[in-house]
Amino acid sequence: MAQSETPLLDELEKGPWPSFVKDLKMAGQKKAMSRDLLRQLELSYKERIGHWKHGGIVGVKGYGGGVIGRYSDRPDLFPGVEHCHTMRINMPTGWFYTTKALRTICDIWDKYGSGMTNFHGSTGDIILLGTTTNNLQPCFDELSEKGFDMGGSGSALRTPSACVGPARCEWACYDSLDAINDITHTFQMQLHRPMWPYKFKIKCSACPNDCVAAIARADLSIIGTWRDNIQMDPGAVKEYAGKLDIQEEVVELCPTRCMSWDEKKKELKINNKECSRCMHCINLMPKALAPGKDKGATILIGGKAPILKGAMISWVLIPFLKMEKPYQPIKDLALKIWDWWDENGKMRERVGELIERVGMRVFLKEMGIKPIPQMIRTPRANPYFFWWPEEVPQKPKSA
Amino acid sequence: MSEEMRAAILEVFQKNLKKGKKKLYIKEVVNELPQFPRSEVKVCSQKMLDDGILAYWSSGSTTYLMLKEEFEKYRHEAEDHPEEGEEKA
Ligand code: HEM
Ligand code: HEM
Ligand code: SF4
Ligand code: SF4
Repeated sequence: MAQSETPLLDELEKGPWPSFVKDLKMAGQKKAMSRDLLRQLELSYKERIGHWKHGGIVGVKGYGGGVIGRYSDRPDLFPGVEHCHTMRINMPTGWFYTTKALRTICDIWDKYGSGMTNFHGSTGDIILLGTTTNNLQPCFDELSEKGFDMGGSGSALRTPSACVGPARCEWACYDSLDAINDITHTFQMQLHRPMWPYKFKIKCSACPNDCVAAIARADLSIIGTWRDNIQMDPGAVKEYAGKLDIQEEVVELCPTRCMSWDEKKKELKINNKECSRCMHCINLMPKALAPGKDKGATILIGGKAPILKGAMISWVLIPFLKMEKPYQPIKDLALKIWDWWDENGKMRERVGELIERVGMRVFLKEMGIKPIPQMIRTPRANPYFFWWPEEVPQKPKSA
Repeated sequence: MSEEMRAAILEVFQKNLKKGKKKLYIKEVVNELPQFPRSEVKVCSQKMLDDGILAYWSSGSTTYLMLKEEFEKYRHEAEDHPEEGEEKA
């Protein structure tokens, strides 16, 4: 048998788990790009340096993003990956496909790309990995003909994403799918024509479980909640009593300690005024408890992953908003935030970092939003909000 | 679209090019033209992108603008090392 060209990578085929080396070798039987990608990676493993160059080509006609340009710095050795660009394709909201749609994407990608895909990227997009500059436009044209569009990259609105929401989930407090679909269509310009200091992300989770991790990843996080009482079915609570230690596992783990359990009467009580809508009790007793009936969303601002500065978690901007089509208050707010950030943000400064730099009170003043206690930056950590001097009522001087 | 603004934007790029700076953030362009409103400079730049006078350049995570003719020369000379602190996408 001929000696393997990739002895180091071959190690990653051993063991019972899935292996990208195995997959790429399979793809390599059809495409030189996948073959050379492995060969180049092998060289990187040997030399312990990367052989990719970043940037450059950005898109297709009329678009400023959606393509992530990558080139080999050793095209002499690895001609198959001289170009190895990635296309980000906007996923269907909630990631629902027909098998026909999946086949369509795969067929087009087999024709124009490496055949390698990533369903889905951390952005949520369909990630098509590896094609050449010349193939970008015809590939996009065919995808576009079948109803697909580019996702966001660069200093633009990134592809907005939503949890699966009401399509499959009984806890949804609003229609996260419709909201994101609507928002995506409204802000096509912001998505495809990068003109901001840096990226901006909007993510919708329909309840506080936050399945798209909007609070940690989105500059504007829209998270479902309710403002009345948790719905309770006392009969179903009693049924849980045999299977679950309600005192220990539910009541004592409630972060606000707002529940009590009467073991004798098998009765659960919730002081809803103190409930922070963490979902813990509902997650443990889904047949007995459910979010309230007066549903909407909390709007939060400033989340981001660590890049220039550390990670930030979004904090509350609007504690409760009814989520109704056409979501005008959110759209108006987004436009206002972008305008202010665009004017005041430094190059590659996310909106959360800008707010941290100039202060929440400046941000709120610009947004025309009144400060309220729920806006505390980090709950139970720093209770101080700095007021404008003119907003502080003057006490009469004591004699 | 005012011809005056177009010429001014073009001049910003040419001036920077002479200093060896090919890629500009839109923000840098806006900052160099305080005599024009920010939003109008942006609209005008968009128009110049459509007309093929300017071109986008992107690292994947960050977008720049450059003169189209420079982009054509430069597009395959991607960077060995993205700028300090640059995330790859
Ligand atoms: C030293 C080498 C590299 C490093 C450290 C690196 C790092 C990263 C990081 C931190 C991200 C962001 C992940 C996220 O949060 O979404 C990312 C995304 C990405 N990188 Fe790289 N990268 C490298 C090389 C490459 C190469 C060689 C390619 C392609 C040939 C590539 C293609 C991509 C793509 C397509 C994404 C976006 C994926 C998505 O949208 O989910 N990267 N990379
Ligand atoms: C030893 C080699 C590799 C290891 C250990 C590795 C590991 C990982 C891990 C842990 C992630 C994050 C996954 C997630 O959280 O969703 C990731 C993401 C990614 N990997 Fe790899 N990977 C390797 C090789 C590759 C290669 C060869 C490619 C390209 C052909 C690739 C493309 C990507 C991309 C595009 C992402 C971003 C996906 C996202 O944003 O969700 N990786 N990789
Ligand atoms: S965030 Fe809530 S509503 Fe959305 S899928 Fe997760 S649990 Fe269901
Ligand atoms: S949702 Fe959380 S805070 Fe509210 S009662 Fe249940 S466990 Fe307690």
